[in-house]
Amino acid sequence: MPNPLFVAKSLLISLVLAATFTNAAAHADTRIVQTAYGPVSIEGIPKRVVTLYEGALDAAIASGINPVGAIITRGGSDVAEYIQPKAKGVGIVGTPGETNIEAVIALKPDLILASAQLAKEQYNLLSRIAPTIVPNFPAFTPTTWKQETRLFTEALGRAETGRKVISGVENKIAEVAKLVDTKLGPNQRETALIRWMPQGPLVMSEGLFSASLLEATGFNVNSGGIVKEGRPHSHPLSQENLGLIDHQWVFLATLNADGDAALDAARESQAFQRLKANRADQVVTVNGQLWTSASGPLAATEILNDIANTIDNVAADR
Amino acid sequence: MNSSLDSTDTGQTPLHLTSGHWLWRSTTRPWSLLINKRSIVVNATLTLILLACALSSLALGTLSITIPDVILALQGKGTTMHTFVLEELRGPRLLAGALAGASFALAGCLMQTLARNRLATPGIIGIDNAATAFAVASVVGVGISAAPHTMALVGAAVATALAFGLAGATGTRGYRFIIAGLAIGAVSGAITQVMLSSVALDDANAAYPWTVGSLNARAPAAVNALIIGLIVGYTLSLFLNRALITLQLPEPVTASLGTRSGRVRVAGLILSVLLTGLAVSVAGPVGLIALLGPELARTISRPGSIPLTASALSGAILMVLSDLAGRLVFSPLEIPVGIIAALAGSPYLLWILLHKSPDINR
Amino acid sequence: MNQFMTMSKINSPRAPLAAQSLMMSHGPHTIIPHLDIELRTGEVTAIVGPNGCGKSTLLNGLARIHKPRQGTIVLDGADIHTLPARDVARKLALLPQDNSAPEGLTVTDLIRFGRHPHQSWLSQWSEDDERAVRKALTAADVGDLANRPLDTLSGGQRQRAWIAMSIAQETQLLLLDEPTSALDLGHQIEVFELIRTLASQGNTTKSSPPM
Ligand SMILES: Nc1ncnc2c1ncn2[C@@H]1O[C@H](COP(=O)(O)OP(=O)(O)OP(=O)(O)O)[C@@H](O)[C@H]1O
Ligand SMILES: [Mg+2]
Repeated sequence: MPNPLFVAKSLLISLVLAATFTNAAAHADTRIVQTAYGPVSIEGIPKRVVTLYEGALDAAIASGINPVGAIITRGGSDVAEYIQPKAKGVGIVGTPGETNIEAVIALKPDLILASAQLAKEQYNLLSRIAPTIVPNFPAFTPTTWKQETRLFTEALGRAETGRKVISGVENKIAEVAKLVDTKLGPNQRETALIRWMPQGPLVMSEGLFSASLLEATGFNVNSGGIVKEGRPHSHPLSQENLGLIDHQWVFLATLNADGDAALDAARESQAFQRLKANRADQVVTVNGQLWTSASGPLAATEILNDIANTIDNVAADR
Repeated sequence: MNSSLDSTDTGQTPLHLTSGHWLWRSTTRPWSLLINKRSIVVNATLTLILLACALSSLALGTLSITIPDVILALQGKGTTMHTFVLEELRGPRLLAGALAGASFALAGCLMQTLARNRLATPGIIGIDNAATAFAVASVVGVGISAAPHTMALVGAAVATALAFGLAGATGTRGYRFIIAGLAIGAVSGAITQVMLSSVALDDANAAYPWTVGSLNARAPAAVNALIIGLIVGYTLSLFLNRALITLQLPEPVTASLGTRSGRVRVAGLILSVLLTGLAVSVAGPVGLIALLGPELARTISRPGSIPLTASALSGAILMVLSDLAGRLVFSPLEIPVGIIAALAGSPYLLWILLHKSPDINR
Repeated sequence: MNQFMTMSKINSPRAPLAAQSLMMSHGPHTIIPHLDIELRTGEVTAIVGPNGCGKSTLLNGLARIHKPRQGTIVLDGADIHTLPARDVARKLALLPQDNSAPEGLTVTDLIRFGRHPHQSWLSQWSEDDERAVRKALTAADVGDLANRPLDTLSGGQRQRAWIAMSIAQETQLLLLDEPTSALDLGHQIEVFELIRTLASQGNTTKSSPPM
C-alpha cells in the first residue's frame, strides 16, 4: 500500500537515519559502486563496517579493515576459526540465514557488506541504517570471490590494497599448482570434496570456492554427477552410494564436533574402507568452516596452504 | 415435589437464574442480552496482560528502549533510531506475532469444540505440517511456484480435505479424524524432510524458518491476509458460538436443541483451517499455541462457555512472550518462536496426555 | 431381530407426530423392520421392551437424530427431515438415555440449555425463558439444587436436572429415554406423575421406562 504519506515518512526517516548513522563528515572522496540493488555512493573511509557474509569479512580483514560486526559461520557459534585471530572483538549480528537488524543498529555501522543472497526486504531495512553493498556476480564460478573482493574493497576505499591481495593469492595458486605438478602425475588427481554432516555426507559442487582452488592448482574435482545442474552448492549422498565418489583423493570436511563424531562412525563402515582414497591413505580431513563455508583471499591462502601441506605429506610418505 | 406446575410463582422462589451474568432487556422490543460477567473480567484481564506483553516486547531486545521512550516513539516524538526500531522492526513483528497467536488459538478452540476433544488441534492433526510441507515445497522450488504463504494455505486445506476423506466424516468423538490427521501430519513432516535433504543447502536454509516457526520470515502480504482472515474468522466464530455451546452436550441433545451439528462442524472446521493456514503462512508451524491458548482460556473461563475471545487473547499473549523469550535468551542470536513454544508447550501437552481426559468437557 | 415392543396405539387424524412404514437400522443390522406409530398430544405413550430391542433407536429416529432406512416421520403434517431444525426443536424434545455435561456446569446452567431453540442473538434471556426455567426447576424438584454443579450431584439428582432441561424446552412432544432408570422408587413415581401432569397440560410424553 504505497500511500504517499507513508512514502514521505519513510524517506524522511531514512534521510535522518542516514545522517545519524553515517559519519557524514564531508569527504571529497566519494565512490559509487554498482550493487545488486543499483549504484550506491560511499564517502570517505568507512570506520564502522558490519559484514553479513563470510566472504565480506575475509575481504575486509585482508584489506586491512577490522569490521565491528559479523555473522557466525555455518554450524558454529562464532566467526570461522581460521579468521578468529584476526577478527578479535568483532560483534556477532546474526547467522548466515538471519540477520539481527537491531544488533546491526546497535553497532552504528557506516557501511554494511552483505552476500548476494540478501533478500529485498532485508536490504530495504539495512540500507536505511547504512549504505549496503550486495554483490551481483554469477555465483559458484572460479572468479566469483575475486569479483566480490574487488567490490567490497572498493566500497571500503581500499581498491588498491584489494588488487594487491588478489594478485598475492593468484601467485600463491601458481606456486601450489607447480608443486602439484611436480608431485602428482596427470591421472593421480581425481578428487571429491565431501562435507560430513551429522545426517551424513554431502557432496560439494565443483563450483564451490575451495573446489575451484583445487581445480586451479591442478586437481580434478569430480562430484560424480551427483550435484545437479542448478543446484550449485552441494547434494546429499547416501552412504550406500559412496562408490560414486570413489576417486584417488577425497577432501573431507566437518563443520563441528557432531560432524566429527558422525565421520568417525562412518569410517568404520565397509563402504568407507573400500574407498580407493581410503586404501591409499588419501582421505584428507580439512576444516569445514574454512573449506565449505568461507570464501575470500584469506580463506584462499589458508586452503592453498592445506593443499600444499597435503602434497608435501604424501610425497614424504612415498 | 410440586406437580401442579401452575402454582409456580416467581415471587415464591427468589432464585437467581442468571447469577454471574448481566441481563439487559429492551422495554420496547423483545430483545434481551445476557452477558457473562466472568468472561468480561477474563477478557479484560487478558487484554491488559497482552498490552503489558506488547509493551515489553517493544521495549526489550538487543537494543533496550525504556518504556517512556517507547511511549514517546508511539506518539511520534521518539528519536529516529527508536522510531525506526519500533516502526520497522519490532512493531510489525509484534503485530504479526499477536495476530498469528490469536489465530492459532482461536482455530484450536474451534476445533477442540467441534471434535469434543482437547487434543484435536490443527497442529496435532497435521494441518500445520501439511501447510509447512507446501510452503517448503514452494521455497525449495518443488512443484508449483506460488508464494510460500499462499501454498501454506493450500496445504492446510488439502490436509483437512484428506483427513476428512480418510476419516469418513468429522465423527462425534473426533478420534477417526485425529488419527487420520496424525497420519497426514507424519507424512507431511516426512515429505518436508525429504525435500530439505535433497535440495541445495542454501534453499534448505531458506526454508528453515518454515519448518520451525519463526516471525522473521513473515511476508507483508501474508500479514495483511491474516488481519483480514482473523477479523472475518473471529466474527464468524462469534456467530457460531450459540451453536458451538450446544455441541458440549451429548450429540442427541445437541440435535434435540435444534443445532445442525453437521453443518456447524463443517463451518467451524473451515474457519479453523483458514485461521491455521493464514497463521502458518505468517509464523510457520507454531501449533502448540493452538493447544495452550484454549487450554489456558478454558481454565479461567466460566464452565460451559466456549472461550473464543479468551483463547484468541491467550494465544496472542503466549506467542508474543515466546517470541520475546526467543529474541532475548541468546541475543544477538535468535531462537525461533516455534522452538520456544515447543519447549514451553511440550511438558504441558504431556501433562494433558497423562492427567486429563481428552474429552473437552472433563 | 427379537422384538418385544408394546405400545398404546391410538389412531387420530390430528396426531402431531407419526411414523409411517418406519424401518430403522444400524449399519447392516435392521433393528426395526416395519413400524407405524402415531402420537397425540395430551397422552403418555410408553414403549416397553427388553434391552436391545430398539427403544432408543426408535426414539432417535422419531427425533430425527438417526435417519430411518425407510419410511417417513411426520411432525405437524410435514416430513420431519424437511423442517428447519429450530422449528423441530420447539415442538419436540428428546432426552437420551446417557448424558454428560461439561465439568462445573450448574443445574441452572444445564436447564437454561433447554431454552436454546427459543433464543437468538437478540433474545438471549426473555421473560418466557425465565418463567420456563423456573417452572422446570420446580417441576423436576431440583430447585434446591439450582446452583450446584452437576458433578456434585447423585445420579438420580442429575437425572432430574436433565429432565428439567427437557421440560424447559416447552415442547408439545417430549421423548424421554428411560427417564427414571437412576431414580429411587419415590422419585420414579414422582417422575411418572410429572409426566402425566405434563401430558394433561398439553404435551405428548413418550417414554421408554425400564421394566
Ligand atoms: N450405534 C450402533 N451401532 C450398531 N448397533 C447398534 C448401535 N446402537 C444400538 N445398536 C444395536 O441396536 C439394537 C437396539 O439398540 P437400542 O439402543 O435401540 O436398544 P434399547 O431398546 O434402547 O435397549 P436398552 O433397554 O438397553 O436401552 C441393539 O441390538 C444394539 O446392539
Ligand atoms: Mg435404550
